Amino acid sequence: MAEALSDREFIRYSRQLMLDQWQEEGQLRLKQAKVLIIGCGGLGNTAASLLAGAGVGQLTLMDDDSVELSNLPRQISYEMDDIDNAKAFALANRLREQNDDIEVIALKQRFDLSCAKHHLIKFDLVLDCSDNFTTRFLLNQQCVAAQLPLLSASVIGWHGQLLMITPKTLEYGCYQCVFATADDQVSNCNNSGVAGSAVAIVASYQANEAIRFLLGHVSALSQSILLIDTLSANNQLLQRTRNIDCVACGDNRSMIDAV
Amino acid sequence: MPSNDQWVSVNQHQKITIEAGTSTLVDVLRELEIDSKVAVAVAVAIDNQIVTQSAWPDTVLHGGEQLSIFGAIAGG
Repeated sequence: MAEALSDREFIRYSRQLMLDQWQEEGQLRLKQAKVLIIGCGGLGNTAASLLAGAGVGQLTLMDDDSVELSNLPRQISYEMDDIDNAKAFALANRLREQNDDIEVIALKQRFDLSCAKHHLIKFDLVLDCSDNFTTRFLLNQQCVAAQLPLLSASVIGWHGQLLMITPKTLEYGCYQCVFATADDQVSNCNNSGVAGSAVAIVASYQANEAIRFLLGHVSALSQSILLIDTLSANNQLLQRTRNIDCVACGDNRSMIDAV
Repeated sequence: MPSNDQWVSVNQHQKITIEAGTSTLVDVLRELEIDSKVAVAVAVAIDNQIVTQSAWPDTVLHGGEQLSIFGAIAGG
């Protein structure tokens, strides 16, 4: 493992370094880690902030949207002065203020096939914090093809869903093995509503799993999907199964454009 | 009423009557009025194990199973 922690990093991270599952070796792993976050909305705000605070060495933020007044209840890194500014840039500025020992890269663009070819490289983990099915299915397909671990989180109303897809655990399938397809007209935050506190809970689960994965721990979410119900506090962990005919990860996946 | 009628539970609060050894997941979804168009965005688990959609027509229920039926969500 290259590069030691500086004295300031030892002080900054002292509380988490005490954890048996973390220690100096784990902190060095985080420092070396490169994470891509797709979507700088509610999930992206909280997840990115927790990863920045934890000391993940490089965070790349991607979003083509700008901050609106109706975002502020749940997209907690943004302030009134950020309205109309690009979310990726505003969030990056906040993260740099939070932790100047890490590198933050901001990309004001939508995730699509052409940008997948440029950007889905050399990341240790990709976080899906997007707000639409088109991006979710494309990101899943492209991460499977590029053999990049993907931690997918979504939230609506008071409910969330969280699953991890990794090259090493592909026998448990991918996002598209769980949901064959879905329509963006069905539900999103604009037409269904969402509780900011539920968003923060789901994003915190996502960040927690991301950190544990980067520390080198095995995640149950690599072979399951977690359904988070913040109304009943009754979460459910369901075992996944690979669909051998899946267009993203199945035996015919060569039909998909690989990166 | 045939003697092999049984029930399965759906999302811990609903009971659906099935014909044991004959009814499939597709029959249950039809009973719940989840049509095939909406069902593409739906996932089903039996006793906490997800059944991929292609296997629904061949997945026969025997009664007593706990079904979890949930839709994909996209919000972020």
